[in-house]
Amino acid sequence: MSVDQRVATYAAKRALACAFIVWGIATLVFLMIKAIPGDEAQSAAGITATPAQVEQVRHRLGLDHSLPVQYVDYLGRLAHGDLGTSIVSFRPVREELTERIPASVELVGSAMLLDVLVGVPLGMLAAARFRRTTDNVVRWVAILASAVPLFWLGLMLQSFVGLKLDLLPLSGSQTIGKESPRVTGMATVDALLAGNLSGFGDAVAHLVLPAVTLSIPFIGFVSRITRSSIVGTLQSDFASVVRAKGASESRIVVRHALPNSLGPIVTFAALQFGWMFSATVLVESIFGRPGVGSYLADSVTQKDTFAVLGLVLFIGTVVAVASAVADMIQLLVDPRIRAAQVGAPA
Amino acid sequence: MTDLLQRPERLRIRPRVRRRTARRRMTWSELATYGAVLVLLVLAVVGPWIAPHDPYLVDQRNTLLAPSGEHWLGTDGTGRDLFSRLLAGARPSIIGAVVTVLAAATIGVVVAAIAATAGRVVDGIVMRICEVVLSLPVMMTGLGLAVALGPSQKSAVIALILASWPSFARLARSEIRRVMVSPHVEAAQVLGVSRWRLLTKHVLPNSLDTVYVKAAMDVGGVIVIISSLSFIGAGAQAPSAEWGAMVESGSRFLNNAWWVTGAPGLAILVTSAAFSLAGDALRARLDPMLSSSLGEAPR
Amino acid sequence: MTTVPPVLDVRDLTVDVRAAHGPVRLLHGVSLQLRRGERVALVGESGSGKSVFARSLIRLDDAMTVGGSVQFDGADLVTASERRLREVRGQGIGLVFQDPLSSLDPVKRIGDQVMEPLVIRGVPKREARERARDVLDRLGVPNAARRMDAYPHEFSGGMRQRVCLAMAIVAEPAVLIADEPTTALDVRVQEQVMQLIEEISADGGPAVLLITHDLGLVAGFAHRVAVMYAGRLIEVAGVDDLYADPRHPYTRGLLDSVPRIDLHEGDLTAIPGTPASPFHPVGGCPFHPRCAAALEHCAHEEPLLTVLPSPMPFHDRQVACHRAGEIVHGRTA
Repeated sequence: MSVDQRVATYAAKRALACAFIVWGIATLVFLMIKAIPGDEAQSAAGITATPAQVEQVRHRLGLDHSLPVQYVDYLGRLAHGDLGTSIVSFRPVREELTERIPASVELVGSAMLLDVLVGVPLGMLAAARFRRTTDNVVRWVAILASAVPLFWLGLMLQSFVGLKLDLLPLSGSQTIGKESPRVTGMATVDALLAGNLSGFGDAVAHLVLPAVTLSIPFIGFVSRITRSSIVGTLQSDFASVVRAKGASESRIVVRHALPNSLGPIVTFAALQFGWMFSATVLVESIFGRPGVGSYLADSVTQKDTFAVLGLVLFIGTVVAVASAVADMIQLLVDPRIRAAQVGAPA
Repeated sequence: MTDLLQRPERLRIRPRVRRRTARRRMTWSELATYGAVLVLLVLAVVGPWIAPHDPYLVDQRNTLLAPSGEHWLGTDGTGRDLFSRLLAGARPSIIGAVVTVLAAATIGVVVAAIAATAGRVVDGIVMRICEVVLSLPVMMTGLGLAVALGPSQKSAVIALILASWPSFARLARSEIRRVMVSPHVEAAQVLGVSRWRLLTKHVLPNSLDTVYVKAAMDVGGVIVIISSLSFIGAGAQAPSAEWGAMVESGSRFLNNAWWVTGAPGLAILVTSAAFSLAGDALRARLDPMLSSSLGEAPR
Repeated sequence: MTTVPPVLDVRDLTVDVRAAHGPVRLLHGVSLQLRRGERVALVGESGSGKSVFARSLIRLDDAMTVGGSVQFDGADLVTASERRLREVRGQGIGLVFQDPLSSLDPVKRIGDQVMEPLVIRGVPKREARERARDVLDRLGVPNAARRMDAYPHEFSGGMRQRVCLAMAIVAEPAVLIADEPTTALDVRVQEQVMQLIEEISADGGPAVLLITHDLGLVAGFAHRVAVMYAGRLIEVAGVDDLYADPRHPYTRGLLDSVPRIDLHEGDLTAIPGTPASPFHPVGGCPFHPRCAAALEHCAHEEPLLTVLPSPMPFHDRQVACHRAGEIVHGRTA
């Protein structure tokens, strides 16, 4: 087999594992639905439903069948992309979700950018100054950052930077009157596509506070992962060899330790994408951004259980796919892993 | 020798547990972090009793007071004393997290012990389950379950226990498997020590160090997650002084009384950081790779 | 020969590391000179401080406190600035380590790693690549030009050690230090690598300091041998003198524990006792607890490395033993 074929085989295997995980999550969510106390048809139809309507829902959801049949039905509906129906708006969860995904991707993307740009260099700095004052300071900052409750940080930033100093807009994703026509659903990208520069500036201004809020705890995590990974590499034999070649400490960190630590960092970044996506539930509602997270938060407040569970399933799937993608990226950046997974080229 | 083989239970092959803990003196920063955690735990227990005011007493004439001698941290939107509420809230916030982690760790270790000894089929199934649960962010599992069970502090704790035991199970299993193949355990096995005794006397005592460290480090994170669940309405409900719920109810008065939101959030931050720092200190103590300088390295 | 100043002049080198209960001394004042074109072997058991000696010459480890002096190229490396040290590392003194696999960066191409000592010093990429290829060629890496794009895991152990040698000599250092360069290799490959090091040092190449615990490698290779025990040199002599007439009981013990063609198998003996540990220092001569010839005096006073008069010129030898004068052929007269 050629290397390409082996890579393809590996990718197929990884995709299969990912499918297994998604199936597992679906099963988990099915169990959660079954854990809802009381009559499920009654819950699904809403409190205001008449007995006839309840029976209708019971029939539509197949709740009059046995549990295994219900389970198979449930998986069948999922396979068609049916994530359930809101018991508040009676709209399919999928419909509302698709409208809101771009805004969340925009937020998570910019938060990730921020946290890699700040967290990775911070970790490198700490590792290069291993066990010295800088290292200790970074460690404290990182622990504090990862202990910050996101929702509180968001409110505080809103209160001081938004309200008191009036530097940045408080909520929403753009100012009314400055919107651009919806193409992608991401306010910044749409403004650029429309050539609307003031609209772009406005959308970015709206993005700053939520993105900073979302990224801060993760900056703590990323810097610690980076630090420990690089410290490990710096203590390995080849780091001594490179030092013996006359390389400066910064060259060793940037040219050797960082590429060797990319594996854990990439894996973490991908996992983080999922975590950030689930953390939008805290940030988007505070900043009034119309994304997946604020939909989820609203559903919790309105006790819209089926919408909540549908969204949990969706986010779980995002996470599973992200981690599979991370493994594939690792394969591309790390020749050792390539060798271990698909064998060394002959 | 034959006599020994016939009565293996009386054999005492105790592994020499290698703890580096005793060797190094505690530094002042370690003492400070352990001390902070201790103080917080004590507050969580006695907090409601030492509160200067009734944390649930509504006083409509004195709402949103600024901090003063009478009300150290001011009052909230219904005139309740904020400082007293913070003290009262220490219990659901901290004890909730500690209970969650202890329960999750216990379940995890028990499941891991079963998986590691029961054979490959059971092991495989357990590990697949763990894999699935772990692929979902704890926040999402917690949210989904808590909402399904009906939002309350109890639901949130149960949900988080169910969401976080697999990470302990996975860790404990790999440690148990590592210790199972170590020479002293194999020696005991050859001598016919019973499975149960092998596990409880030889394997577990030597494989739980990392579990303790993880537990200590997790408490800080769980505190934040529990309060997050309350904040979005999937955990502790309205009158409760749980810190996340307090942040939520305070957020309505952000523009004229920021401290009503600021104080409980700061409490979460400080508590979570204290537990994380203590966990980190414990890890540095137990992790030979990071704690050993060149001189201590095994030769 | 004695009038030529040595390329590397180590005087009274001490190394301490921090440990849980204060500093621990790993090297106790080691002095050794290396002359141009010379091949010196530093031998001793593991833990005797051989590797520490090599690493401390160019201050590779932050955790080590180095004292004494290391004169090289007009500078004292013990007190030199970090910047000056970086110039010496690689270009003045090249180092080869024991394990060729862990010595190479697993995610960098071989070529880039061999070029690195040149690239750091501002040699243009193209020229650095050519020189790296030439060195790899010279060291017998087949298809060097193409293999430079490969990764370390695609090389065999012997080839990896050739790559490590290439990295150490590509910047043409005046001194090459090889720290157990063959220990991790097959016996057959060991010979090839030793052969290569010998070739490198011939005609105008670097002076070589070979660090090894294997006296079998030393005989056909080194001009002089320095024996280290417990962080001290206890005997320094020309290779023939040392093999023919070891003066220190420890050297004798080392030679007796190596199989030799000229001796019968039954004559192999091990040195009794356990190697000295820097964490549990003993008073007096560090070897006295294991020494068959030890007198009471040996437990109290540490013998200094002293020059033994020799009838032949240039054959000065040094021994650190109270009874060196009485001992002939390693045995008390």
